[in-house]
Order: sequence, then structure tokens, then C-alpha cells
Amino acid sequence: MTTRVVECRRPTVGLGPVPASAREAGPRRAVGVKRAALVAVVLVPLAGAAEPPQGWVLAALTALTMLLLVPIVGERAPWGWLTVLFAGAAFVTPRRQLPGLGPALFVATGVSLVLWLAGGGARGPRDGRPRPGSRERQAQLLMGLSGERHVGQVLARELPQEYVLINGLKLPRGAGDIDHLVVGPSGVFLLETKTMAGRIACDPDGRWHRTRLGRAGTPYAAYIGDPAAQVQRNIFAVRDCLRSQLPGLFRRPPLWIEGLVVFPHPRTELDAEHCRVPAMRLDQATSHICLHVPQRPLQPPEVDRVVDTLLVEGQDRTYPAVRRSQSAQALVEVALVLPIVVGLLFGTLAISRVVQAQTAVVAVAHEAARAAAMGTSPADAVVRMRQRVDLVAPGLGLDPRAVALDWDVSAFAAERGQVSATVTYRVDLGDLPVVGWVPVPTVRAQHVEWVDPFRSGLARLDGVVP
Amino acid sequence: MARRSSAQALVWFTLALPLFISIAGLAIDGGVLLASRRQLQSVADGAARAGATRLDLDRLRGSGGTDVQLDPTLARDATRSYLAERLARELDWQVLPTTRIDVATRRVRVTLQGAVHTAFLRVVHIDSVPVQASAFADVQYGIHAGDGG
Repeated sequence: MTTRVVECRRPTVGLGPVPASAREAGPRRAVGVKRAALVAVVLVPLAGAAEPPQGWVLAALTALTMLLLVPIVGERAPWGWLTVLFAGAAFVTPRRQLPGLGPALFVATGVSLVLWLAGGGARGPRDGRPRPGSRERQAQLLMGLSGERHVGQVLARELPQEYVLINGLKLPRGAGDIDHLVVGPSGVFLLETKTMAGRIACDPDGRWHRTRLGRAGTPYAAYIGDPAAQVQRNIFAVRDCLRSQLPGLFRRPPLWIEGLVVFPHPRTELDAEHCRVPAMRLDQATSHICLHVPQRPLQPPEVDRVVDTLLVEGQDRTYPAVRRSQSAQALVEVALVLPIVVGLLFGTLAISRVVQAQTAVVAVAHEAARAAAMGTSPADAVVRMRQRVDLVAPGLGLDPRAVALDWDVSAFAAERGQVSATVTYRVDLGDLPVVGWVPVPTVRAQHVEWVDPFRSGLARLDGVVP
Repeated sequence: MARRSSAQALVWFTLALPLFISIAGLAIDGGVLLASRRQLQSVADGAARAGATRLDLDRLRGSGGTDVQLDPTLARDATRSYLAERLARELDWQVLPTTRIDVATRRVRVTLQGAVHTAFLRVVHIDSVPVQASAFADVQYGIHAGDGG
């Protein structure tokens, strides 16, 4: 029996049944709501500015409704699909007919995207794993916690005193908690506990299968994931940590870190001879560890150094707090940076639209003045101008309703006469997010054209040409 | 690890900000250049057509309306007059455009070359960008649009 047991899990884990929702779904959901609220605070003013003031109202109401719904529907809502739905609706919804809906959909897309990402994104139910927060998931977590506690007790009882047992260590870049880590003369062992009943098999290609029997005796496939991959990722994390802190252990012969997948459930039928890491039932684990012949045995001082290093690197209970603060900091940074980037993007788009309008307005003024210069009288010149503007403006990408034409035909004459056309155009930026609050820019162009008496026939009428 | 991963978004943004601003600046300066070019072309077209209205009336009357030719002096004066009136007020020129007027018997050709101010390219010591436009008007075959520049 070893008394050198280090418990790195949160205290609730060792105190009997823990509500799964408190361990996983609860905090995760709370984090998701916090992030979604923060994103909503950033997005509502930005999106609403496109259609003030109803844009702000609808966007705020949308965000509020979604945030209130989250505690009710939890993570069972398909946030990923809702994101796609909202984004699609935002694209196809005509904004002019339904002002305010665009900002609301924009905010809904952002909030649901954050909730989806907070819930694990595409990693969620893809592999058949029960959805977080579901009853099956809670039962699975309870079973897992119970099994881990049992394995910890068995190992502590059976391992000799020269071995150190660390339960629930979490390392940076690791794949979640390391259920059990044993350090002793025979080496360093990572144990991944899988408390799962049923027939469990590992194919030669490394794929795991778990088959359970239903109440009617019919077999069905149940989730198991890839325990070997999880162990291997944690082996890499431990190796990286030790190699950087204790490089002497990895000189020839190097320390070899062993992985084990342990199945403590009494109704487990195991067929895992093809597994990449040794997989066994709990009653075989201690003997496997103690009888292992390592290529580099650890001396007692080395055992202590390895344990100290891993505990310091794992930062024990402070690590999750650090992760949370980092995550929150990253979110704040993104919240600060995103409006500027989005503003630059849509600002550039708005500038392009103004430039296009300015170029088009110059052309329209040119065409209008030229048409007027071919007129036979001032009144005819004005009619020609109007007709020409109506004809060419749509082709140049201008909205005819926003085009204003002003003219000066006071100098219209056959001899040295001239006409002037001034075109003003209000550039509509209202459909662009972020820059929608900018006052409507107006572009203007004037063109003066000398009356062409010979082409219009005006000169002949005046008797200039015989 | 914590120190390494903190403030990454801000660092990336700070590094990328000059790129973003450059893109926005190029969009603005490019837009101004495009609009200036179009405006200059419009002035060149108008000037060429103004010159093309000045025919040699004596020759026209003498030929019974069949020999249509320009009066070179009047055509040049008309073109020059148009440019003097319009060119200075159209755009904010870094360098007032130089003008070249070629008058043939049936054609007036106008070539304008100027330089417009830049807004963002000044950062890299490009204070102005040259623009050029040319147009011709033909008395016989009608008015032609600018042929580039």
C-alpha cells in the first residue's frame, strides 16, 4: 500500500456522487452564456447602427431573448444549425422591406455561433457521444467518476510505498485530466479509466467498438471513443513537460512513459489485444505496473523530481482558473479588435461604393449636357437632358430615384452658347453593417457643353448656313 | 504557456493593422485617382467638342455646305477657352494640367496631363499621382469619345 497519493481533482469529485450537470454541463453552459452576452454587447450596437433606431431595438431584443432561452433549453438546442439558419436568413432577407430584421439576424447568428462553439462546436455529437446535458451523458459521467475513484483506491491499496499515485492531473496541452499517473521505480504510467459495461473490442486498425445488450437482449452499439488516443495525447503532454524540465531523464537510455487503459467495470468483456497501448481490467493493472521491466528504471530521488515537476506544471487547481482567465482575456481582445476590423472592412466597401457613384455621376452629367447641347431650344435642351439621365443612370449602376438633375440653359444660343448639367446623387450605404449610421454621402458632378448648332440644326434655323 | 498565449489577438491585430490601413488607404487613393481620371476625360471630351463647333463658315458657304472644315484659329481659341474655364475648377490639382491642342482641318485633339493629390500614399512620400486624358472631335463623322490616356 502506498500513502503517497496526490489528489488533483476538485474536492467535489472525491465526495461521492456528483451531479454531472455541475461538473460539465453547468459550468460550460454558464461560460457559454457569459461569452454570448459579451458578444451580444459588442454586436448589438454595431449591427443596430445599420437601421437606427429599430435596428438597435430588435437586435437587443433578439440577444436578450436568446440569452434568456439558453438556461431553459440548455445545450440541447442545435446551436450550430441555428447559426446556419440565422446566417442564411440574414443573407436572403430583403432589408429595405424589413428594416431592423437584418441587425436582429446578424446578432442572432453571432450569439448562436458563440453558444455552439462554447458547447464544443463540431466535436459534439459527431461521434455518437451522448449530448452534453443529456441524461445519458450525466449517467456516463457519474459512472466515470465512480470508476475513477474506485481505481484510485485500488491502486493506492495495491501499489508499494515507493510508488506515487497522482489522480486527476491536468497538464497544458493534455487531453483533459490524466485519470491516474503512477510514478515509481518501474517508470511513469498513465492510466485512462473507462468504466463501461459491455463487450469492448479494439480492431487491428485501432478502432474501438462497444456493444451492450438492451433490455430485450438485443445488442446495440454504445459510445466508447478512442481511449488509446486520449492516453497517447497525455503521454505526449507528460513527455514534453518532463523533457523541458528534466532533460537528464531522456538521455540514453531515455525514460519511456507507459500508457494503460483500465476497465474497472465488473461486466466488461475485453478484447483489446490490438490496442496501441496496453488495455486491461483493473485487477491486472497493479501487477502490470510493478512487474514492468523498464529500459530506464527510476531512482527514488528521480521519482520525487518527476512528481514535483508534474505537479508544478499541472498547477494543480489553479490551472483551470488560469485557463478560464486566458479564455476570457482572448474573448475581450477579440471583442476589442473585431469592431475595428469589421469597421475597416465595411468602410473600405463604402468608399468603393462612393467612388463608383462619383465616377458614374460624372458620366451622367457629361451625357446630360451633351444631349442638351444638341437641343434646338432651351426647353428642348432640358427635355433632352432629362431623357438622357433617365436612360443612362441605371446602366451606370445608379438608382434613378436618388439622382437629382439641375441645369442651366440661360446661356443657350446658336452662337457661342453653352449649357450646364449638374447631377447630384445620394449614395445609399444603409444596407452595409457598421457604416450604416454614416450620414448619406452625396456626390456631385457638373459638366458644361458648348451648344453644337450645326449638329442640332439650330444654325440652319438661324440662317447661319445658307 | 500562459504568458505566451496571452494577448495574442492584440499582437496579431497590431501587426496586421498597418496592412489593413494600407488596404483602406489604397482603396481611397485609388478611388480618387479613378474619379479624377474620369473627370479629366470629361473635360477633354467637352473641350474637343467645343473646338469642333467652330467651322470655317466662309468655306462652308462657298461650297454650298459640302466642304466642312474647321477654322483652326477659332477652333483652337474655343478649345482653349473651354479648358481655361473648366479645368481649374473641376479638381484639386497638385500640378495644374498641361494642355495640348492639335487642330487639323477636320479634327480637334485635346490631351491633358495633370497630377492629383494623394491622401494616404503621402506616407510613402507619394504626394501626387499623374493622370492623363485625351479626346478628339471630328467635324465630319461626329463626336467621338475619349480614346484613352
